[in-house]
Amino acid sequence: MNKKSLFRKIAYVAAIVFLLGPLFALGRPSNGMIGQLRTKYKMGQANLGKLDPTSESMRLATLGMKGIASTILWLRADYYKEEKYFDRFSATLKQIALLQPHFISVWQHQAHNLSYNVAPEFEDYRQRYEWIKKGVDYLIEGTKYNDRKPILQYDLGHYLGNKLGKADEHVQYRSLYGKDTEFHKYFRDKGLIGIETTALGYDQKPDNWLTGKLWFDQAVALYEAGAPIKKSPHLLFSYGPLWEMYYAEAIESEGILDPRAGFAWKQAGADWAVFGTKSLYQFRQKTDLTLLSDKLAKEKIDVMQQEFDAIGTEAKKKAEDLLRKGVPSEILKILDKPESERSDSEKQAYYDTVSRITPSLQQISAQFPPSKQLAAVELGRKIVFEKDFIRDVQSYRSQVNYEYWELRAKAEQREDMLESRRLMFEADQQINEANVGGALELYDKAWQGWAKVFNRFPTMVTEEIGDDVVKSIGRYKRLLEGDLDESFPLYEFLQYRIEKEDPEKFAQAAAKLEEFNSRARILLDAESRGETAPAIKKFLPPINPSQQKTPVSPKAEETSASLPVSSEEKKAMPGKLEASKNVEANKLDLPIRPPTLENPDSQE
Amino acid sequence: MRLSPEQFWTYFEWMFERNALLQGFLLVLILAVVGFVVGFVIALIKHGPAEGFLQVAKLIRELFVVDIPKTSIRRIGAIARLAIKEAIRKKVLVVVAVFIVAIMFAGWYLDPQAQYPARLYISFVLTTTNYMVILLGLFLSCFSLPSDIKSKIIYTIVTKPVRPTELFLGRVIGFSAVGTMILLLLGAMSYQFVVRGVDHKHEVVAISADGGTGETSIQQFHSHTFTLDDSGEGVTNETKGHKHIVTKSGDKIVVGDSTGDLEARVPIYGSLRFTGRDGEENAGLNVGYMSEYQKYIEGDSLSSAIWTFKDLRPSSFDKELTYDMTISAFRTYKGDIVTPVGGVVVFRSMDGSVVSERFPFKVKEFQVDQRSIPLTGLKGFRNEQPADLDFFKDIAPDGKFEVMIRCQDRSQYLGMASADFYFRARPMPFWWNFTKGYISIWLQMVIVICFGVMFSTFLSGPVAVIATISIIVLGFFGFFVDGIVKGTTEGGGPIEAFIRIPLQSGSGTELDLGNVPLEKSIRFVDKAILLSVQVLSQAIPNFIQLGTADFVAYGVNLFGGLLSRHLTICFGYFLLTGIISYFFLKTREMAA
Repeated sequence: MNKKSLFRKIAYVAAIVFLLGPLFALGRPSNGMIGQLRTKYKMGQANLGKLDPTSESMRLATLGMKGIASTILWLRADYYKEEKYFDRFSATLKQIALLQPHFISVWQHQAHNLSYNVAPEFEDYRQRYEWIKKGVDYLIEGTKYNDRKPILQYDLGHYLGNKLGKADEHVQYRSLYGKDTEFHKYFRDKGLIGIETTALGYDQKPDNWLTGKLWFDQAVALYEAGAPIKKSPHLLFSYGPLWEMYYAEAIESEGILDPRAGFAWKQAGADWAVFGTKSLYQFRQKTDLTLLSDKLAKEKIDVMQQEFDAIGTEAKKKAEDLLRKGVPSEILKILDKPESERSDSEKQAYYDTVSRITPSLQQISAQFPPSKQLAAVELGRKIVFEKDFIRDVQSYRSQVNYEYWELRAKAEQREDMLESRRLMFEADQQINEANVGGALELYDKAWQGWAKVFNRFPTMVTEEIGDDVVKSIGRYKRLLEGDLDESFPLYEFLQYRIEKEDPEKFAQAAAKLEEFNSRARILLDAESRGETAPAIKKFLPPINPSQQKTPVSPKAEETSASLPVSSEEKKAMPGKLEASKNVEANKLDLPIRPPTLENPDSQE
Repeated sequence: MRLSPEQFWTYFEWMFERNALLQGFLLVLILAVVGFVVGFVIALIKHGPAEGFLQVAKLIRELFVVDIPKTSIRRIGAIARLAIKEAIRKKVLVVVAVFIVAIMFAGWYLDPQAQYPARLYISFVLTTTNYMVILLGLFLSCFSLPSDIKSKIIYTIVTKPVRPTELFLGRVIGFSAVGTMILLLLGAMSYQFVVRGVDHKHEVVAISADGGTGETSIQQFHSHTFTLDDSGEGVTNETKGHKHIVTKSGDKIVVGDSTGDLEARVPIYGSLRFTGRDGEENAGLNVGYMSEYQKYIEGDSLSSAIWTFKDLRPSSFDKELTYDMTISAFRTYKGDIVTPVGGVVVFRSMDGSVVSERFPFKVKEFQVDQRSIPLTGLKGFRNEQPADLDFFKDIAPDGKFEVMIRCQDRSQYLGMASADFYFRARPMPFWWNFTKGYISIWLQMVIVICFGVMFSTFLSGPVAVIATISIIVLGFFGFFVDGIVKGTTEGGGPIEAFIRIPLQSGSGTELDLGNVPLEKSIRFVDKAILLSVQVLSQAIPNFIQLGTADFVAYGVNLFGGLLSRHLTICFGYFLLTGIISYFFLKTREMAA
């Protein structure tokens, strides 16, 4: 019996040793298979982020039931939020994070919960600000555990910028943030270099937009060091300089309309230009591009197209003839008709036919003599490739609204723009102080300035700046108690705005904008030739002295003019606008928003 | 803090008006009948009908005629002493060491930057103590008797003239005594932890040119601003749930200790009703929140919240009538961002003939808005004529009156529950409230010990532990079972949940196995299991209701009525488990 027992024990020990062997081989820390896989996929704790004894001990304490524990905590957190036990909610989130420190969605989701869902529950904006900070703090904690997840820094950039700078309470939030020395110190302690140098605003206090930019810079640095992020690189790169633009915009709205604002725009414009030269990988064509590489590609296409045309005139003719054969003769007759004689249906048919009988490069190549066909096909392929490339670049450019911001930064740096803004801002203030005469005087000066700016940068009329000016013109018009005639310096721009908002006059508006743009190009040429002053003067309407009417107090009934009225004004004077019977004016009351790049994950 | 109306009931109201006594009596009756029937069936199988009945009757008779009257306090004391010695031998003081470790590392898990650190610290110590002491009671009580039986030590006891009642009482008292000693130690340490945790001093770092206002230094992640009056006395603003008294002596301004974070307010609650925009009574509005705790009234309309107070006594107040509000606001439009939504408070007699002036307020959400009105010289109207009023003579002559709140801002809403408006009588000391919180924990521990000892009279140690843990789990999560039975909690019963896990089927979706009869059978069996668990969960103590940590953490004096109810419930379970244990001990073959 004892012998049997002994053999059994020996068998057990042998089995244990036998099983431990492979386990040891697999799990050797340095060169075991599991270790190698961990190193290969950067899954080791040390690769993910800092090792935290609190988190480790908490996970150990759950005895392998981390999943159950975190599920219970999630349920509890939901309950606390629903029942508005926000202090406990926040405390529970910390516990969840300790259990799941490398689960990025936890940090993102719950930070959003704190800053965007819990914060608005508070009536006092100061409390709301504190809860936004809690969300920010939560994300920063997340970065501690996740060294290689730039999405957290990316979100931080958005929270600092969008949440503090774009909320309805942005004036209060920005002011609170500027004074929040503890929070700035906290950022510095958490490794945000530059919070007290490069992120300083005009008042020498850290600015929320510039701090947000620092976080984006960190995200970009991590991305460029090889850490993956589920965001398109061109969007990621755009936010830093864009936040500088928003900073400049913010200080202007706060009344800083002097060289400090010009400098802010200059800086933003310079960084935007650098962004344009950033190398971006295009997945479809598997090639690198920059947002400025379309110019070079266009030049290439021009050269190749010329080469192609030179050798393929005859082939093009043949291809066209071939295509014409497939079109009924009565439709071909439309092509010969003068434009003025074409009916509406014929106009449409004309465009369709032109497109039908225009041969593609491949179709032309097919008509080349066999000896030249291969070279023609190759040239055609290169041209198509470059055209696709340009399309991709332009797609990227339009996604970040590159051209608009490039122009905006240039325009906003100009002294005449700053001066116009300052005059308009001061005129608005004069209204608040009930100084109608002073307001009108300042407005009149401002319109002259704006006319110069819009002549030089017509795109600005279409966007946010145009919106601001239209709002002020609305105020001006109410002060005048009358309609504006053609002598008004911004008359044609106003007409454009009115037509732009009218679906039936959309084509007219587009043509008008094109006209503005071509004038702007003439101005640019004139500027480059050193003829700036006369060229601008040519397009400026003369000041009509009759327009300088006696100032009178604004009356409610006068608000129904054919001017676009901003939504904010509408809010400020609901009674007045409701009384308006002018449908046309109401049509024009559509809000015109500037192109912004909002974080889709961070909507309130 | 969320208080439900049943928590305001007085002991008398709960016992007689809300039928607690009747329910208890019915429970005893049902258990007695079930116990008798089960006992009789067992006896019937063993001894036949006549002999079986006789055996059961004899057992019951012995309990009331012999064992209860002849129970000896001396023998109970002896067994209790043994239980204490046994517990100490089992090194129960390890619990204290574990608690010390938990407190030492509490900083790892607690957020010192929390909005109300005192609440967090108090909740932490009370919850930790609660769980630890319950576990202590569980392990002490479940293993004692089975290990005595296993090691045959029980022979030395049962061969002596010791009655089963004495065995049960001795063990329960002994283990409870050990638990009490440990609880006292933990309580003292917890108190120190909380008091030292929130204790801090500020220095004055900035003062205005006129010396009237200033700012304190940053301590424990916060600072205060303060205002001084002409006499050189003032108070800081409330931050992190507390204020400081500021005094000027000579040229020096001294910021005193914090006040308001460790307190025990004595609230006097009323019953709440609502009226709509037409002035007619309604149930209050829901503005779209999931939680139905607070109801809302519409601004700039006749919509109002009316509290009726029935027993407010002048002796509870000094010169002023102090009241607290925790009203919420809900905005349908942003409006003025800087200024909070406002309302008015009006005090009026029951017949409405005497009405105070309107007291406007601006909402302070998620904090206690402390206000007061003078008891005499109160401006108002008597029969619609302006008059100077005496609160207790004119408005509340017999302690009965009404308080009405209306929202002032058009299209904005104010939200409130019964407990969101109360009068604050003279406060109780914090340490006493803290002690009452520990008494609640002690009651839970005693209940666990009673169940543990009861199970150990007929189950082996490990099985008794599992049975007691089941009681504790059901006591804490009975609401979850209720939710599943009522369908408010998704995911189905145990079998359905077990099937869903490998199928990775979301709890919000219908169970789809492609076989309707099978699905129906699963739901039927689940329902049967859940109903039986639900019945069981209603017969066992609800530890969630017995928990009173929130009262202490939120600085609300734990009502005497509520604590007395908990004491009564605890005593009820003590009796119940005692009687069940008696019968098992009486019928069990100890030497088997």
